[in-house]
Amino acid sequence: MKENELREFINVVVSYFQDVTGETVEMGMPYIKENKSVILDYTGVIGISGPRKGAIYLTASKVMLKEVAAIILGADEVDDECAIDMVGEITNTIAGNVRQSFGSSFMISVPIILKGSPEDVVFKLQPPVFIIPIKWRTFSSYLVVGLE
Amino acid sequence: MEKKLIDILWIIIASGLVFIMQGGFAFLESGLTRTKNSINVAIKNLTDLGVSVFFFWIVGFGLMFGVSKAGIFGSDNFLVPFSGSMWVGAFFLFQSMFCSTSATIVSGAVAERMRFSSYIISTAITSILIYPISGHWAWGGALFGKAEGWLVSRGFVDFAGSTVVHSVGGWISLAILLIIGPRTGRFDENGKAVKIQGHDIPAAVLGVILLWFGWFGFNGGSTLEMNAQVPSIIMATTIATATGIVATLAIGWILYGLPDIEFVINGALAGLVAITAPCHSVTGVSAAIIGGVGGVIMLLGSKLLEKLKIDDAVGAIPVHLFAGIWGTIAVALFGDPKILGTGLSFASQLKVQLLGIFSVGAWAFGVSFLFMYIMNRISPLRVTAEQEKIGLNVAEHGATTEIFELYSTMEEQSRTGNLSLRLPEEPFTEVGQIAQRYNMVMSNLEENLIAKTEYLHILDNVSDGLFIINHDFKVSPFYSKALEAIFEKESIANKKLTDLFEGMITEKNLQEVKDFLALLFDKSFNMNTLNKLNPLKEIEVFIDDNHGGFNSKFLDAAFQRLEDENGINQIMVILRDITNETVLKNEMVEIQKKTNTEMEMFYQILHIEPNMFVEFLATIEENMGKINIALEEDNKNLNDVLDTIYRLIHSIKGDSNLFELDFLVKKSHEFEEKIEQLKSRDDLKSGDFLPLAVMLSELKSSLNQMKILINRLLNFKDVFANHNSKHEELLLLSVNGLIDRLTKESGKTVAFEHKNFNIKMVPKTIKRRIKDIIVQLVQNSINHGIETPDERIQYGKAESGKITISSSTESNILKLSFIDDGRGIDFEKLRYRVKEKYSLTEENTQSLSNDQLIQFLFSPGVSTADVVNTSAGRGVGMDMIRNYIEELGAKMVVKTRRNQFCEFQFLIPLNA
Repeated sequence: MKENELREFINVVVSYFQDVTGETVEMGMPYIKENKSVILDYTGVIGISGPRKGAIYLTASKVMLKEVAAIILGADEVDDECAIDMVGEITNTIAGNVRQSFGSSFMISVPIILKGSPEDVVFKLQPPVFIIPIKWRTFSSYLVVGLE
Repeated sequence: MEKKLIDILWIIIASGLVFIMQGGFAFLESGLTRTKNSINVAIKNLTDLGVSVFFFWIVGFGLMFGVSKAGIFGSDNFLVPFSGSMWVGAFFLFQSMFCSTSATIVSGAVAERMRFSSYIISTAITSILIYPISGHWAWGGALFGKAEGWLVSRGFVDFAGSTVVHSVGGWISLAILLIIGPRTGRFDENGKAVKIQGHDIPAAVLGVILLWFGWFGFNGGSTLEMNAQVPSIIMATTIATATGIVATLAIGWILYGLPDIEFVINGALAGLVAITAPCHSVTGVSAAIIGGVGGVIMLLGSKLLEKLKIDDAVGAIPVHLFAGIWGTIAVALFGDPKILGTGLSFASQLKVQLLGIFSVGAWAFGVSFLFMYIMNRISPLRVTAEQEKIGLNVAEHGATTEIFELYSTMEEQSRTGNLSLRLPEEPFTEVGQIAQRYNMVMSNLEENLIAKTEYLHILDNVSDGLFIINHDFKVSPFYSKALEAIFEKESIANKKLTDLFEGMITEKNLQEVKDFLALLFDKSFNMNTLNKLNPLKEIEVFIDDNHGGFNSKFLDAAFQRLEDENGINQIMVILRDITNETVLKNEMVEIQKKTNTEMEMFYQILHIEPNMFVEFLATIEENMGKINIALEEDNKNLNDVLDTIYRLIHSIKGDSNLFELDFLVKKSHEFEEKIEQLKSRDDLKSGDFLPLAVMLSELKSSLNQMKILINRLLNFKDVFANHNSKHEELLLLSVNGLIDRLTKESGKTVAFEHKNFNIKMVPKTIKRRIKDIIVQLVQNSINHGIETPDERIQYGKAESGKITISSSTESNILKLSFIDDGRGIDFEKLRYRVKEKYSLTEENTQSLSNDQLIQFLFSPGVSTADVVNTSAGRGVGMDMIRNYIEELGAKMVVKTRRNQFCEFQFLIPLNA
């Protein structure tokens, strides 16, 4: 995995959160996992194939997603559905950007949204898996990149 | 009554001419009907001639021309004897032809549907009864030159038989037509007339010409002598025929918009029939009028019959009945009374003409209708629908025609779908030639069908995707079943190949495929060259599993141009699923690659004792883990994190150096350089650590490769060797190696003394740290302490330097000593570095004692080396030693004398 490729994925997520919330979003210290990963409440997964194989996902807590959704919708309180929509939206944005940057040489799957911590997501990742914390307010969501 | 020879001769000639009319009728009627009935119509013409002559000879002639009984019928001359009188013979011959003419008219009208047997019976009735009786009325006594018939006695004139011959035939036809009805298909479901085209119009035209010619005898002979009237009669006949044609042609053209052949034919005949009665008594102009009006009447009569839905196959009724009536009336209208010689006034003449028309009509129609009606009740006059359909040639006579064979074989084929049937090929005929061509077409078709069936069979069973694409890249309808499995889609026909690949290959590949396909259809590009560009050669395709992932398979496409004289029409494509082979091949390549890497690594670690190497790996793995933890913990103080990582990486580098693992040394050196860059940053952020994470991942993958390899080596060793190396021996061995390498790099010579070094009883974890410390100190000594041989000679020292390690254990405390006989610590240089690093004032720096300076030696980033290289100069090694000491809970003493030695003593508690 090349640094500039990772940087591309990170920038997409960071600027997405920054754009929709209008608040500072920071990238945390990146680290590596071999055969494990981080999974929070909601996860949007994009499969990648072609010259590179593996997956990228964004995982976030329900509370964080709901707060982000509330800002976007201008509501005080939003339901769980919104959190799912939120993660779907972000994943689609990532997929769209990935497609723009790597589209012509990568195969990018239709993004899927997962709830809870399904084991099989980890199998889609190719080690070493980069875990990049994306920090907003007091929350940390994680961009997880596991491409060979 | 005796006649002159010339008269008799004329009558015989006239008879011959009338006889020819039978041939005319045969041509006319069979030409105007369909092929399937042509034989039936023709044979009727011949048969009715024979039948009518026969019965006319036996009965008819006597009833017509025998001595009259009350003007109603004749009573002698049955079985006409012609031995006695030349005249009777000639007269009979002439009249029998007339009788036949009357009878044969019916055959055309009722053609294509009347049973042959019924027709023969109707002919017999006509010649035995109907024709002779009414004929007697008009012509009775003619044999004797008298007027015996009741009509002729009243002044009725029908010179050559407009009524007597033609109308009688017409009336009988009408009667039968009313009984048997129209042919199937003559009128559609809305009652609209549908024309049934005759099959041979040229024959019909020839028939008319023959009739016209025969009519010269028919009318001309009716003088019953060769006199001055004959030429004018023939002339009148010709004029009327001509005007019949012209009038019908003109009016028919106006009414129907085209010169209908049948109207012209029937126009001529109507003219002939009309002039028949008055031909001897009219002028040329009158004849012209009579013929023309006859034609028009025929036209109107045809319309009338259509309206009444009476189906007259050849137009016999309009021609013979309607024009005959007109001709009979025309006698009164145009006839020269002198020539008529009846002595009647115009009105009386007209009246008697009409009486004749009516009475003959009533008789002929009445009797024939009665007879036919009864007969129809006994046995149907009409053939069955099926017989009518197949045609009377076959149904009635078993006589087939080529065209019938053609039709029936075609029908059989369409019914059964049996394409192996072939038509009989009669050479030298049109139908035969058609049959020949048809058979050729069928043979090709059958061959193609067999080929197609075989092709489809192949397509169903072949394991490759076999198909053809057109100019628009669309897949042709016939493709192999396997193609659907390859694309995991159904109904592929007419879909673009590029659309099928969309979503399965990258956009870049897809564009390449589009470009490539376009080039395939371009003849100017050589196929061999194009094959080298084939983007679908051993390509991996992906199918979204809709679960955030892909299933992949490997395909291989081969292309073949299909060319004809117009260029490249289509491309045949063979698409194979080569997943199994490719996966296997890739695995082999992967194994080969792995083996190569492992072999490379193997050469590098060949000199290292596996157990020690395992320990080394455990150490660097531990350190890498610590780096990752440092990252994951996300300490607020990023500089601290950097320092921690730096230290750990340096240790990895040192260990790698110890084992001469250049690739790891190189990687960790690069790692250090990256950290250096980050350290110089003022606004360090978490995001800046990304390259470190990436480098760590690279180190990790190297480590993993080594782990795999060493495990294999260990297995190998366990199996084949029983090597009982002592741990410290291994340590000493590797330190020796490190010294060797470092001295070679630096050009120094160093002896390694370890006589009193024994750490057998020391726990493994402490052993590892001892090794780490020794490694760092050896690097330190060779890089900074021990001088070059020249320097040493200069200082009066032995050319070769010396490193001595020793150990002793007392009260569970391990005392470890490391001495080199180098230049000792250069405190002035150290003072300078400390000043630089911590930006101290000159005064403060100078005030530092040697002990204090030594403390700095063990802090991060201070080194006395002038140049940074992979083994020294970053000031990290000593910092690490301090960390190890802290970790071990040990104490350290440093003794040094300038240009003499430097000693590091460690007191390590063994029970910590």
